[in-house]
Amino acid sequence: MTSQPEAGHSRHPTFKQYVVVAIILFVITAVEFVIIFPDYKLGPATVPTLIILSMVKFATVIFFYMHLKFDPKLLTWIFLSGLALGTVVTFSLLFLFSSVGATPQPRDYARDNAVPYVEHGTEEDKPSSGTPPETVPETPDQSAPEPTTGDGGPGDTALLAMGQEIFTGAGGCSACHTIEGITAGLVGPDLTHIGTDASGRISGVSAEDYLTESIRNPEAFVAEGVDRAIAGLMLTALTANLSDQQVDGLVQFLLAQR
Amino acid sequence: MAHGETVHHAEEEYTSTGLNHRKLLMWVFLSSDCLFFGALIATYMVYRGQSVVGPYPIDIIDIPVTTISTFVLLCSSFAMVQALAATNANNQRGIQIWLLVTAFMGLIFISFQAYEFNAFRAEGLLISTNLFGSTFFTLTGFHGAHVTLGIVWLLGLYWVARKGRLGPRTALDVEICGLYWHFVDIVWIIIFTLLYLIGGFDTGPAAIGGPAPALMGSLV
Repeated sequence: MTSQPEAGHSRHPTFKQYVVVAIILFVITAVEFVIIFPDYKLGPATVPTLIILSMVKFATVIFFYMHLKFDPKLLTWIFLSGLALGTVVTFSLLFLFSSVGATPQPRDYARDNAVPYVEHGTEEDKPSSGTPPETVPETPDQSAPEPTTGDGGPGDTALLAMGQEIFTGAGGCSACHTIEGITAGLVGPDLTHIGTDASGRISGVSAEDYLTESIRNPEAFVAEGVDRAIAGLMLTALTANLSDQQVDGLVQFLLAQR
Repeated sequence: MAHGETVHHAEEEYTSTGLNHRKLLMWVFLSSDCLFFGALIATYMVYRGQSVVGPYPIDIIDIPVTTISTFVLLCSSFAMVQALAATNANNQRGIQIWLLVTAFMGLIFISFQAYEFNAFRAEGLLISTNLFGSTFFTLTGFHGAHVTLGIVWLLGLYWVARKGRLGPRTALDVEICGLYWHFVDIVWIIIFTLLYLIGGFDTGPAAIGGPAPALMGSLV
């Protein structure tokens, strides 16, 4: 087995050089981190800067750690030709799919079908403040699908009728929610039996209060079993304009669904 | 493996390129591996921002933690060159220690990755959840597989070193392993920049702009 190094045609860097190289790599990585955390500090120049810095790191490693600088040039050409080919393939694909750019460009399908992400239905640790500069604010308002419960005493019939009218008509609830025999929405949770289910969803909260809260502030509690993908779809905009009386009507109507 | 008497002749071994075949082969392999990772990176980039359900990168990518594991991997590359230097200097103790240190740091890196994958799973991101999950796990998973293979290789070398079989005459064994190890490092440099530093802030398509999703529009 040949050992090129001792054969004399390639020399290795000294210990000192290796240490210097290590320090350079460390510093660059630290700089990269500082540039982007907690948010982009260089504006539009951030992404190009990051790419250049990583290319410097890449070159430093292959020329010193992998000692291409000290080895016969043929090895460098072999590696660079593969690297160039890989790069060309990568960029060809990106151009083919028009995906070149610092920020992702969602295509029509994604734009039309994307659902905002609500973490387990609650605002936990991730404050949305960490967003990078170029992202537009947050999407409107996602409300969790409404969970439902009911223990309810039967409300007065007028209220109940009004509730049903809102639910099936102007309120728009029926576009998403199913109540067997009344509506057949496919998106939201099935409310056929919420009158029964609602009590005890949150201990200590009456079915009535729970439903009211779920209509007014759908994100407050997402029922178990509700697909995370649709949690967040119920817009508070839908219910924000309802009067307290109208919400009462809805609640009575829902409580009647057993 | 190089054994005793063959070594001196081997140094004058004739090859048409004037380069050692094993070393040449490793470079050709690494060159082709660029295409492999290039394809996976391209796939990730093409599907960037196309996931229709969360979690999206901004929801779960933890940049500080990954920066630490990146430092660890960089350190391991330094340990690797020290292992090679010790081999050339026939410093038996040094060879063993630096090989172990390199493998150990690789193990720490993999542990970070296992922790990360597990955290992502807990947050609801699986390889089948969305395009982000599919492309992310495929790319970083294959990188992790490379690192794992490297660790096995290093431990194998350590085992050989313990038998006293590594030294200046067999330095190429260590050097070739080092080439592979550094390559894994540079692939991570690219992944770290693209998927974490740049892509780690990606939100879902709905938040990126444009008209409100049709579904939501139809509700109001």
